Amino acid sequence: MGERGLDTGATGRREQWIAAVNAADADRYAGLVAEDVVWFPPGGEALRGRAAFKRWLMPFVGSFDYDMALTPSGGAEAADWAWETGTFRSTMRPVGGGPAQQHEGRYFVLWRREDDGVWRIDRYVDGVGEAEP
Amino acid sequence: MNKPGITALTTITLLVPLALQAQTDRSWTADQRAIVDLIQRTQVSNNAGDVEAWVALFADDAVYMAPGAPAVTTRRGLREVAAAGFRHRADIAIDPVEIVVTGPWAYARTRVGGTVTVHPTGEVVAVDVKQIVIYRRTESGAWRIARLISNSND
Repeated sequence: MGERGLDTGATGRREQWIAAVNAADADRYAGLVAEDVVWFPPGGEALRGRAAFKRWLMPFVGSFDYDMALTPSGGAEAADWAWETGTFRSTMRPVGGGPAQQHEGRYFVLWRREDDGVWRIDRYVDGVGEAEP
Repeated sequence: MNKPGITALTTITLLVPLALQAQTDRSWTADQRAIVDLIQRTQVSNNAGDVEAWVALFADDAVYMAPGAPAVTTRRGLREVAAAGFRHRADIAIDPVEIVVTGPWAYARTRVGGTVTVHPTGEVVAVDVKQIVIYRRTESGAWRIARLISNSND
């Protein structure tokens, strides 16, 4: 187990996560989270479960093109779960035109390797604000 | 104190032990109970404005990540954040929603609610925050906060 950054199956899933967001692919994105995921959106109550997560996601995915990047700063793995913290930067461009919105901040993601051997996002929280790690 | 006042105080006095009993009735493991204790000490140090007690809850290499502020990565930084934050008077409760322990690591999902009385205006601000806290077991066996990240429900 190391704490500098993840070098596990979860690392590859992080790249798939970024790709799904930037492709605005809600199904792929929802497939990356566990069925019983708990997702903490800023400014709102926790979302519980993949279905709730996807309902929350849909208006954004249909309305914006995303350009998201993650910069991990630390993490660790123990048995079938792995956590990682880092910073994110994203640019959201309205599909119908208009000014882009930029967000940056920190994230925490907890990955869990489920019974099928696949790592999925189990818990997630981010905080918009200062982006330095 | 008038009779309604006494009644209210009696009710509160009775409810507090009941609430604590409800919390301890959950079937926590020894590690989970240790983390519940750490959460309670976090709450007490916040409400007491006790900088050193609060800082002592963190591992030496902890990272504290509050929304809208730079990450804090040193004990000195933790003391500065606490000294600045504790000028305001907190009356908060930190409730563990779940605690998961795996080897030397654990995480807790907690909900923070209550009020903060802002210094020096006296304005009372509601607190409704959700947190994820990563804990690490130290060589002595004690649990310490390794990472804390939160965002607001508002």
